[in-house]
This record gives sequence, C-alpha cells and structure tokens, in this order.
Amino acid sequence: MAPLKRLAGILLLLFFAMACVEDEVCEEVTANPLRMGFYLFQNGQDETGAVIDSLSLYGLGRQDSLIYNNRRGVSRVEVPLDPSADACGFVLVFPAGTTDTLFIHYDREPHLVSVECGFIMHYVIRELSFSQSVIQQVVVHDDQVIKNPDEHLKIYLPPADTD
Amino acid sequence: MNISRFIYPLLILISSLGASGEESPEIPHIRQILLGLEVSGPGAYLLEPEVFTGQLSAAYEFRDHWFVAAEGGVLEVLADKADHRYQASGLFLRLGSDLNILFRPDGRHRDKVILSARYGLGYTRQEAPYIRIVDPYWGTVETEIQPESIWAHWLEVGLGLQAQLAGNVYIGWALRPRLMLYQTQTQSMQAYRISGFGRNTSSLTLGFQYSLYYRIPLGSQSR
Repeated sequence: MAPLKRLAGILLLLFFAMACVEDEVCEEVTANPLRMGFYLFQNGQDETGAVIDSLSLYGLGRQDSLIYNNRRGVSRVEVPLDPSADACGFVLVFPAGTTDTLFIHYDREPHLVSVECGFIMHYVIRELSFSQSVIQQVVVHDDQVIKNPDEHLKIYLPPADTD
Repeated sequence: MNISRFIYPLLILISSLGASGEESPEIPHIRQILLGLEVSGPGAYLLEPEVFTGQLSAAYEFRDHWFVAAEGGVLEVLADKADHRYQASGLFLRLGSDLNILFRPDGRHRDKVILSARYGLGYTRQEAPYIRIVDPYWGTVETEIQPESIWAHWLEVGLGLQAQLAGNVYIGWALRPRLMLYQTQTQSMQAYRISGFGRNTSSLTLGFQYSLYYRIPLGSQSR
C-alpha cells in the first residue's frame, strides 16, 4: 500500500507542476499596441481626461485603411507601430475635419513571447514630432511599448475640441 | 490521492520541536553523499517538447546535517514553427550549501527538510535564423537574430523536502526563489530562457525542482 501512496504523491505533485505551465492564447499575447490618452490642456498640462466627440485615425500613407472611423466619445486610442520601420506616423482627424499628424520614432527589438506563439516586436520610443492644429502638446508617459497596460503617450487638447 | 509522504517530514519536524523528555536510544549519525537526478525537467519536456532541461546534483555532508552542494545541467530549446525558428543551448552550475533541519538523535527516520542557498552561473547561446512578425495593419516583417551569448549569475534560497522511497533511494522537491544578479545585455534580443535560471521574464523567479536521489553512506560515525 505504501508504494501506491508514494506513487500517488508523485503523480499529484507532477500534476501540480504541470498545472503551473501557463496556457496562452497567442492572439492576445502577440498584440502590442501603442496607447495614447487624451487630456485637457488648460493652464499648462492638466491630468483631466478629455473626451473627443468624434475621431478618425489612420496610419500615415494608409488613409484607405482607418484604424478609428468617426469613433464617438474617444478618450484613449490604441494603434499599432510599424514593425518594419524605425518610425511611423498617424493622422488624427478631429471634429470639423481638422487634422494633426503625429510622428513617432522608436527602437525595435524582437521578443520571443513563447516558443508556441512566436515573436512580437518591442519598441522604445525615442522621439516625437507633431503638428499643432488641435494638439497642444504630446508627452511620453512610458517609453517602453512592451505589452504593459499603461498609456505610453499623453496628448493634450484644448477644451474647445472636446466635449 | 495522498501526498502525506511529502508532508510527513514537515509534521515530524513540527512534532519534534515540541517533544521533550522522551528518551530514545541515540543512533550514531552517519554522514553521506547524495547524488541527484532532476526529473521535473524531462517531465516538463512532455508538455513543452521545444524545451529540455536536465540536471545532476551532488551533495557532500561535510559536517553533521550540513552539506556542500553542486548542481549542473543543460538547457536546449528548439522551436521550428511556420513563422519563427529559435534555438538556444546552455550550461549551468550552481554551488552552495544545504542544511537538514529535520534530524533526530534516535535516528528513527532519514527524511529531510532542507534549507538551501545557491549561487548560480549560467551560459546560454541563442539565435533566431527566421522571424516573421505579422502586423494586421502595417504588414509582415521578416528578420533574424544572429547567434549571441549570454552569461548570467544569480542567487537562490529555498526549502525542500526529501523522503526515503526505499533503501538509499530518495525523492524530493525544492522550491527556491531566484534573484538575478547580472546577465549580459544582448544587442538584439533578450534571452528567452537563461540556462539554470529559467524563463527570463523577471529578475525574480520561482524555481521548482523535483529530483530522485541516491544516498551513499560514508560510514564514518560522528558520535
């Protein structure tokens, strides 16, 4: 009987060890978007969130493919950085058709998520440039785009262009 | 299901702490060498066949219930998928000491509760000859990572149990948090796994080992 108990204990612990292996859904773990939040710009930078009545957004040179299409009540957006280049741009179309363009320069590093799910690109934001039709300021809040849930950029807007 | 065999040493330890006044004839302690083979690595290979780790260990009891211990092993990773090929191999060595805190002078059992400390050194070489990253918006990029080497060293402190299976054969597990002290900063990609350290996701990880041991009595009586 004792050997059976020992065997059971061994199997139980092996099962426990195996259960610790994480199950991964590759579609979820391979998405690594840049997150941008909108804030009010009044008396300098303010941490009061801004809600844009209507926003369209597309990658520079990809106006045929909208990432956001007249999205209502936008306070935060997620966009993919171009994994094949060290920089990419996004065009933001605000209410009344006013547009701004935001350029993001970054370093890239392939990262192996798991042997099953493969690689994603990690980014480190190096430099920003942007037009200022509506946008007042853009601040890098977290320069590491590595699947962290935080906002990476804070975009400051005047109160008139938000709700 | 019964895991009493593995909890039993802890219960003995607790009961022995409270025991007093019970006289039993003392049996001279015999020092020993323990040779170990880790089985959790090959077991995990069944679940993740792209990764193989193997480890042998030896512990010499230089003083009653105190052991000087060495562990060495290998790491092999080979992932050959449609959108990536990654391979890594490595060696590692851990040196340190164990203290058996479960001992009774009457020698009624040989099970052990082990406190461990280790210094670990690992060498890993990795490359990714083919990487394809598909971005639904911007398109697909293909790249590669040239071979690169990573040296790492870390500290481990933890607890383990060893239970006598039969004769001089023991089985046991060890749970040890590992704290990375240093690893080579790679040019193009952080190491996926560090040989001997495990997944390289954080500077602090939890290591789990499950091993079989063979005890070699040294025959020299210390009392």
